[in-house]
Amino acid sequence: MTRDSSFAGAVVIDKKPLELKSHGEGLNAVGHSVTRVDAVAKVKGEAKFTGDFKMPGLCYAKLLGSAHPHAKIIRVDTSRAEALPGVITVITGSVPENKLYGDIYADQYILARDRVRYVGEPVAAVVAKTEDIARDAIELIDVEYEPLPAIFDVEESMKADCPIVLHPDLLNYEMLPKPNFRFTPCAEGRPNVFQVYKCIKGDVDRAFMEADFIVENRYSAPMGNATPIETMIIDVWLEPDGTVNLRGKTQAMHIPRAKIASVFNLPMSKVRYMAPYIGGGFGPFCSSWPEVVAVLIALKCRRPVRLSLDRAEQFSIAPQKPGRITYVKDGVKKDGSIIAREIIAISDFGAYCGPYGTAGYVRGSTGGVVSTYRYPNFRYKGYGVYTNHHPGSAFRSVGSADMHWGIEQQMDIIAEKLGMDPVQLRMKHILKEGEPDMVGETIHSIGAEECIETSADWLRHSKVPAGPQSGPWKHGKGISLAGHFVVSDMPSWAQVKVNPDGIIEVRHTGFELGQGCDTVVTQVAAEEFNVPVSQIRVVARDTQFTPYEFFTAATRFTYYAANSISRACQDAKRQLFALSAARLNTSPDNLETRNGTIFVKGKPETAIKFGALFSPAGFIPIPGGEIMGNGFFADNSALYEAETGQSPKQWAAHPYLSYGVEIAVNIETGEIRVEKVVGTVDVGRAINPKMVEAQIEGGMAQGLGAALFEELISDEGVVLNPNLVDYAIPSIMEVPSGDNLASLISSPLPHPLAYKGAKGVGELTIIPFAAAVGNALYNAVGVRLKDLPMTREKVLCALNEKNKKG
Amino acid sequence: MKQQLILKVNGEEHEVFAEPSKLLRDVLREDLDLMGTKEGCQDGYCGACTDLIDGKAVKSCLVLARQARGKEVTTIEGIANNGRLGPVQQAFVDHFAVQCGFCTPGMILSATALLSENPSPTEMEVKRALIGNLCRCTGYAKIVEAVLAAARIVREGDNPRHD
Repeated sequence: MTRDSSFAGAVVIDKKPLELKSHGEGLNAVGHSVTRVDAVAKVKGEAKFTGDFKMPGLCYAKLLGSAHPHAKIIRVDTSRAEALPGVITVITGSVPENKLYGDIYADQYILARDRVRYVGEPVAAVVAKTEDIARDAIELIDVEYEPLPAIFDVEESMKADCPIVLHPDLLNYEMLPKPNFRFTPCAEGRPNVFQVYKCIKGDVDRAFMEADFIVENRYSAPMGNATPIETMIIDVWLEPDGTVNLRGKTQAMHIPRAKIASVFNLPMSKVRYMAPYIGGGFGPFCSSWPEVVAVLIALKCRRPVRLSLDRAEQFSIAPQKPGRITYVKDGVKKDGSIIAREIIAISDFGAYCGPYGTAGYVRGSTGGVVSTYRYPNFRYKGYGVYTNHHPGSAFRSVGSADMHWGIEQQMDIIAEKLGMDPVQLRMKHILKEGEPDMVGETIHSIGAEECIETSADWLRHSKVPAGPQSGPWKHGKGISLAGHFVVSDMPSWAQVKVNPDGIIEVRHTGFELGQGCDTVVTQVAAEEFNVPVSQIRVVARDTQFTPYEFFTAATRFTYYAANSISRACQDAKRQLFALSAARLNTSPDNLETRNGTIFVKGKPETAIKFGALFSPAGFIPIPGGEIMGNGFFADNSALYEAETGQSPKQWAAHPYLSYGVEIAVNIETGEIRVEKVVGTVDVGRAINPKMVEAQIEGGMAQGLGAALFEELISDEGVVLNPNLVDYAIPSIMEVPSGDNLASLISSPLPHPLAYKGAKGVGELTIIPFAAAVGNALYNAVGVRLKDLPMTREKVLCALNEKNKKG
Repeated sequence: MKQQLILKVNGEEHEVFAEPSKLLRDVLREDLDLMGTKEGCQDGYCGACTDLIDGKAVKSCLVLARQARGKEVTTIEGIANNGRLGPVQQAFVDHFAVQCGFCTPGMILSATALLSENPSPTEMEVKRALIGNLCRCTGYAKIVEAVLAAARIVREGDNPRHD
């Protein structure tokens, strides 16, 4: 990727006024672009991340990664490392505390014990007085391996007769209960398949026979890296009473907390996890790894210890975004209806699935696939497969982006064969409000039509850019659409404390990854209490003080927390009203609150301040007790049918997004430049429209990286590009801005359970981007790529092929 | 062996004792507790550790602390004036150019260096000035918008609001 290539010059756009409705009408705080509550601390450099905390006596741990993709460990000799001055201890897999663990399947040892299954798998840990000494000591550990044959081709690995069986004990591994989840180890007699999810509706085979034509393609997306700018870091220290404290980079502290308690046989109350600001998440921090490793190290060395991964280790030791192959087969009638669609999605989750929760993602990635278009006959099969690649972690959209790379190109291929406008084809198949989706769940709050119409409209009206037009540069436009899911089954609690000074304190356990969850929380509480946002204080992310929340991932936080927080506010208000009813000579349900006062409905002159309810000393409300509201929200699914995947309740909500892009392709060099982008998102209601725009723009940039250049390249399991030069993520030069970019939000929609309709957005915004670029590439030069990323080399090869054929 | 080093950081002189090979980034964070300078990589590519030396944006992981002797080092902690945000900082707040905040100090310092040299940058000049600062959250569009807005404020001599 050339970093200094200038972005194609100014582009003239005739912006048609778009009539998207306001999200803040009639609301006090929600729906308005309130300034982020964390912004000032962050621009001053005062916002604290894990690495910014200092601790007396802190030691530093480093991990030794396996040198082989698959091998027996014969011997680990730590004597030379232990002799290095400054080394405190060296820990190997032979310690008695080491055991198999995982969040769904327990399939990995904390430190490799007798076998390694990927290059980089932690084999030993060194604790030293400084990070440099720990690094030096790692080099002094001698490990003798006996290499075993390894497998890297996921389609070979998933075969029933694959000669290499990576987890011979798969059927015997402990399987940890997960709500509404079916374990399918070794499904279909495939020894390296740990999970299968099937969804079947109608009779796909019969419909293929009845179709006028079939479109069938294989698409692939490579292993990648989430690449937040802050890398992994965990501090662990012990209290004299045995309490294990953690401070670190997480999106899911309750998952590692529970795992640490069970693995090390500790009472859960003696595992405390606190998280400061997180320097970007995007998925890989939703698991128990490496917290469990860090706690093992701390328990062995009995000192405060920091386990961190530097950038190279983040690429070579940490789990990675898995590669995925997607087969899409469609049966189409000449009248333009897709009567059958079959998708087979094969995910290369690498060496282990346990600590990374990946078994759950096999189904997870279908949430948008089943809830956007109508197919009378539908069959989906998703496979989670072991190989000797790095373990797969969650990454924004858990594979849905990779599948839509196929699905949304397939829509354009079909449209062309039909001689139909690609927008029309999509419109024809978009599910309607109240219609059952492909898993048999009723669709609510679907704004997909407005999204694609708005994006298409913007793209149609954007004039041909004034950038490079002549010579080798060819221009093309492309469009795409996708839905996504808000996950079910993961409850949320919140607390709201009313202080005598009028400040409303919200206690929650959402992770501030940059998406703005603290601001969302603030706006919801301000809305419920009718106060300016300045009256809200957020206390967050400490298992000792803040209530349980499932992870901040799977596009779930806004949906769940807005509900639990509004309920906690209502509970606190009930208590306030009960306390003040007698004083105001009325019944509690005849009261309302605004700006820190309580008054008889419609009579603001009766107002008393919150402070008046407390004792003169300001602590104790009269009569007694703090005012602390509790709020709980859950949205549980019903277990899906094993053979058909059908369930009347599978997902909490579905947001939608349509991208339109215009690209320039250099037919001499193969370079693709994304010149213009429009993204229109349906989030039900935007709690903070500017923050939703920011999600679109950020997801778009990640989609652009995935589309054009991001790929973790490995040879026999060794990562060849473990740095930010060779694994490039988009710089400011590659991403459209200013008039070349429109991030739009479709009109608000109600949803039966979402707080004021707010469904969520996070992961969605990466999903259909690469496909839009793929469609634009075809539009520009008539070649279609099926394997991501669309590198110059692939574009040139495809152009050469096309020219040969004439 | 550790050596004495006098560094002028954010207008104040500091005496530290550090190995001659110690990076400026590490002296700022470890010896001077200036934690706004972030570490996102080890090879000068991410830009999270960007600081100013004599007003020029440099990656403090590529500079030895002793190379900054006799020069003015400015970190993000030196940009606000008596608690009052600088124009670039205020524009980042106003334009939602901040998400996780890990790249933000480096971004703001690169933009500050640009505006002190070129108070009227074009969109492309802003992009060129920030090419060395990676951000994974924002997609950069709101950062570009914020820097252009800050430039307008600086040109017009508007005083940034109090935070």
